[in-house]
Amino acid sequence: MGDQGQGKTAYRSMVETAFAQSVPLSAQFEITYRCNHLCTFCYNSPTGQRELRTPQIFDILKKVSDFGVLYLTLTGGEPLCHRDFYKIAGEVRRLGMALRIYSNGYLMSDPKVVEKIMALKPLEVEISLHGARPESHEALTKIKGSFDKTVQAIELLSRAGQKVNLKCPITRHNQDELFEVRKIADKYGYYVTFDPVITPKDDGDTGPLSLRPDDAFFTRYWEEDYIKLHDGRLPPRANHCAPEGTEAVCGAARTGFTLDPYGNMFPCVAFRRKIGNLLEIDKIEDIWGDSPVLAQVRGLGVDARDKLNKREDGKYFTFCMGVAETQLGDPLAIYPQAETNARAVRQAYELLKIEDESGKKSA
Amino acid sequence: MSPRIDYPQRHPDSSFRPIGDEGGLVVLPGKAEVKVLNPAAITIFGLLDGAHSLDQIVDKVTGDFDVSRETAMADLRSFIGELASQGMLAGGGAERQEQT
Ligand SMILES: C[S@@+](CC[C@H](N)C(=O)[O-])C[C@H]1O[C@@H](n2cnc3c(N)ncnc32)[C@H](O)[C@@H]1O
Ligand code: SF4
Repeated sequence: MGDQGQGKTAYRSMVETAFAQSVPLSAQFEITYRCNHLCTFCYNSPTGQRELRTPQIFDILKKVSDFGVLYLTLTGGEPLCHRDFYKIAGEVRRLGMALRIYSNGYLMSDPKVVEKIMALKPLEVEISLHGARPESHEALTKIKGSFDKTVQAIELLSRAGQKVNLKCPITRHNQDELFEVRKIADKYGYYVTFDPVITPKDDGDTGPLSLRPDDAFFTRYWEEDYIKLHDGRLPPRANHCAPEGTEAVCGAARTGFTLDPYGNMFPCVAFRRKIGNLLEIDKIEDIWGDSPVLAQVRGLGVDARDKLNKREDGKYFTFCMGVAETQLGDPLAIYPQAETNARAVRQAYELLKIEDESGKKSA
Repeated sequence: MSPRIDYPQRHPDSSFRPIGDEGGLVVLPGKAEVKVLNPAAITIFGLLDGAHSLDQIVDKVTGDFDVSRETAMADLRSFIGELASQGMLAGGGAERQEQT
């Protein structure tokens, strides 16, 4: 009756079922666009509308929880800049959802804040670290002193025993110090995710793409550095939100969804086609099964997978329909960044003589 | 405070979710692993709210699954023992475990 055996296989099979049946396990809630940083590449695009009030956020959280979501991420903007952050996070926990917090870490440099965070028992805190030194980190955040504060936050969270993942989007500012960023993570025993995809802003502004490292960097990154930075692991050949071999290219509209500070629901943080507004519906079930937007996005996920499968190099792609839509106006269009990455990932596999399907080395 | 074994209660920090007909997932902050449960186990985990007695849980399990009362009670006790040993019941200590 009890435990069906732990380990990756049972978990992966459960995640695959959730994917196939479009059972959303996770949701990201951007509770405010307010922020104490000015990151030059930030994808947030506030509309000037009034943001949700706290009782409305509670109402939406109840709907999300009733719908059965397991992992709820509070993000933003900077979620800690919401004046009722602790009340909101406490409500997430009271409703029985596992709490993740995405933060720039600035305010967590205060031990009292860390104490309050720990009392919430978050499953995970993810902190963005944009470089290994103040110059690179602050070239992005534009806030003097933010590097030291973020590192201090990492230190305090580590001392408190909190599980933390560090996130480092790769930009021109930090591309040459990824190994040093990894060293900072190692010092605290934390994992760091390097994100090679810089997205346009949610409103379609492609300005952030100018911060993307050049192609020569990515060739080196995928062929050599990725493996060293990730303890010998090979570059991914599928999006993290879609298990390899599934029918759709990603988990958009399937395994999760995103909410903005106005109550609007989207298939994914990067794919901003509005599904509906949660203040205007009684239950998420009312739209999850029937929404034409969701049906369309699920179909597009399959079309994108099919399109990639037809390409000779298709299995080396990590592909984001949201980036394709904002960058080229077509969610199925192959954007240059994806193509460059795929080329370099393919080369990495070929250099290492990895057989395609099994991931085993052939020599 | 020791847990009331006759009205067992899951760890207050745990979160869980049934998935299709396959079972479900349980997560507990501070635990590195997500626990994967089969359909009967996830149903039971949902009933470990401190308000259902062992007898009431067995009633529910024998109604929903093809299993005798004796087997269900024995399995239930062993499942609860296993959860307790993994710090997944209320009052069982292990509020925050070492990261692995
Ligand atoms: C919008 S922030 C919100 C949470 C928090 N303020 C933070 O910075 O971590 C979420 C994540 O997106 C990253 N991000 C923001 N704009 C981006 C972009 N255009 N491309 C890629 N990542 C971006 C941030 O660095 C951060 O890791
Ligand atoms: S800290 Fe996060 S939300 Fe704030 S500007 Fe930077 S990326 Fe955007």
